[in-house]
Amino acid sequence: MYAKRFRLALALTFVAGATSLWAAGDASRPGIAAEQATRARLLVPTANTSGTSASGTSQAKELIANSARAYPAGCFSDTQPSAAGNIEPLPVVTSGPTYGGTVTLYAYDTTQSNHDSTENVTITIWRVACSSSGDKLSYNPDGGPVAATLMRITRTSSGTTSKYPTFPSVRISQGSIGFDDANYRDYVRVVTEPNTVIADTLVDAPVIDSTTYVLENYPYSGASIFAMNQAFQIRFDNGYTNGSGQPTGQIVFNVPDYNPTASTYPAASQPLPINGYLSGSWYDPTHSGEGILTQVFDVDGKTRIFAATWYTFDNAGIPFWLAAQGTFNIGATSISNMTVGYRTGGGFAGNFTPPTTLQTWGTMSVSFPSCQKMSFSYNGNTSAVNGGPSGSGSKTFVRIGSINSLSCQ
Amino acid sequence: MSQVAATLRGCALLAGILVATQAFADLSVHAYPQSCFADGLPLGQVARDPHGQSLPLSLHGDFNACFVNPVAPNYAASQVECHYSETVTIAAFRVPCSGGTSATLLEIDRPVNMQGNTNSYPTFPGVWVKQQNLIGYIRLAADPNTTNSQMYVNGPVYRSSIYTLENTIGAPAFDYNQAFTLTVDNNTGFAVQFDFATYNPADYPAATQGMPISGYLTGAWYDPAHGGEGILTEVLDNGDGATRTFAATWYTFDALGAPYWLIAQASFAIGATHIDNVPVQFDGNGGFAGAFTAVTRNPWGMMNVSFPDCGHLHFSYASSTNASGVPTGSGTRDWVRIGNLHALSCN
Repeated sequence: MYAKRFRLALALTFVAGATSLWAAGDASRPGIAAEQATRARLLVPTANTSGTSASGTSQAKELIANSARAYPAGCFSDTQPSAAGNIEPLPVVTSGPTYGGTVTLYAYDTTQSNHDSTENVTITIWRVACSSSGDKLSYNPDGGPVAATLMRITRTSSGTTSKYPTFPSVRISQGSIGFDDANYRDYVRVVTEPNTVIADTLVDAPVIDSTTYVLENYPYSGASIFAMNQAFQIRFDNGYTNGSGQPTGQIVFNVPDYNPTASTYPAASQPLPINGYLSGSWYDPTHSGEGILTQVFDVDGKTRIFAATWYTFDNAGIPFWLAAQGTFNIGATSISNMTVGYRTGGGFAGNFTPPTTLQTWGTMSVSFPSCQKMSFSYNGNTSAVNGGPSGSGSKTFVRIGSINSLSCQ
Repeated sequence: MSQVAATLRGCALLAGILVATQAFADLSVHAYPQSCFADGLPLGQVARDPHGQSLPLSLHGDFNACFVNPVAPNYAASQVECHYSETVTIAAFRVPCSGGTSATLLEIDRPVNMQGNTNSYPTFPGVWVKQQNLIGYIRLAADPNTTNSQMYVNGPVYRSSIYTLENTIGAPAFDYNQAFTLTVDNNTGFAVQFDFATYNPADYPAATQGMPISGYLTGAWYDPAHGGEGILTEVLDNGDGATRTFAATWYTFDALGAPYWLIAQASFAIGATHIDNVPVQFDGNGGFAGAFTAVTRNPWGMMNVSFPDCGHLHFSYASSTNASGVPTGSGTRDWVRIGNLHALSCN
């Protein structure tokens, strides 16, 4: 690679797509730079890839591990950024109960000599149901229902650049942590895509388009791990102060406890949409030695393939496997009557002449009540192998282990 | 595998699946394989790239500080920051990923004595790329595998930090594996420029070594010439930050050609590119759907595994049992992956 250092022919100042240089220029908004600095300090990830929340709840350990996680990693795995959705990787349409209202943001007005202006936007806060395994995790200290908390800034004239609002300071008050906490524990990280660790939205960054954000915790070891499923207050601040230095641009909204019912959050009481996070190993703790391995494959962006291999035994207690496979539409929460089969005529380590013979065993239906449980029913028999496994029934197996980089909680 | 292999094996459907999976992956905005940074973004690796370059660049302080109210207590300090500049080291380099591709990283290193100083600090430069006739600002992200997050020009840089070069959905995409020119502009008249040649994996020893074994190597593997048999692998977190568990279930056949499975499991150090002497076992005394009391787990032998890339499992195996009816043997095999797991795409 060739590299060089040079002086530009023209003293260009490239600020396109950047924060507005003068957004914090108004003398009555003196705290913006300090707020940015504080938030940047909170972006130092803890050295350890695991952690314990302030409440002492143990945290599932992962690599790329977000020990400051605010919701299960699998929660938005079916939301794809798209041009139709303004390229947003988070939902653009609210669902369930919403909170919030009109918020006055600082606005950068290119038509004004001092650029200072304000714009009223609508900030809507809502929750989406995630896997609720009942596990007590750092972000869910009581083991209750789990949701992710979203926030959308809606402009009346989305996309307008001659005058645009800038991102406010967002703080949360919950439990013993009040607003303007001396140790910055009221700071909440707000990001435009799920499952990040360091990404943040800089205070005073331009908000050109109406945008959805997800509420996250800062990875700094002293930062709060909020229980977003529990009630909290959220405050938006445009940075303006009066002559005495008192803030004049703050507004607080109450967000109540997440307490899903079938009518408010239908998804919370339904099985999980089937996606890659449900790949894994499942077994009955009272009958260890037998289990099912599941894998969920990408196909075409509309459908996926579910494959399950049941490692079980024949009537003589000898290992025997069955395999099920089905194609399903993305978003499906169950797969019914998949064909289950097994093969005969094979040998060990390729020591056979193909093809082997596919034998039909029967059918199987599956759904996943949470990341930790697989419910399934089965019905079949082994006609081609004497003493092969046969029968019908319904079972719920539990997960063994957590796949690295694919932690389902 | 079994039926995955069975259904997909050697027929048009298999090709269809793999082609479709590839096409689906191509729709994404990713500039490098999702699996490339399974262990996070590493600081200070420029020296490991034989073509990596570092150059000094003076970045200016925070313009926002220029506008602090003269009566504010931090006015004097803000004026200092307003006129501040700092010479940082800009490093640009590639790291090899699976399948002959790479990821390109940009690192900004502050002087050691200024690390974490938030009173006086530089701000993020403008970064743009020229590739053939395409010129544009690019998205830089502090987390791997994002589609939307980005660093803002003039944002504070408080400490040495590293960013991935990314594309933006809806914008023309750069191919950072091909030749391009990267310009890092301090917005006050100076810039540094890095000319990247086309990525050549042969220049990177790590590109030809086995992959570090991570969750992305969870999957289904088989021999296309002998469909119906296969191995399912899983790589699990142990939660200690130092080791992981590798588990493999071998779906095979006994001497009569009836289905039979073996199971292998071992713990290994994070970063390992191969696992040797993984104990393989076979079970007995089980029953169907829980209709048994307790299985007996018996030693079968050993296997060694490594992954030359995302698409291949290389393994050797040797049995040490002579139990009746149990498949036995020894050898070495190279099997290929079937499909890509959703949300864990290795490519």
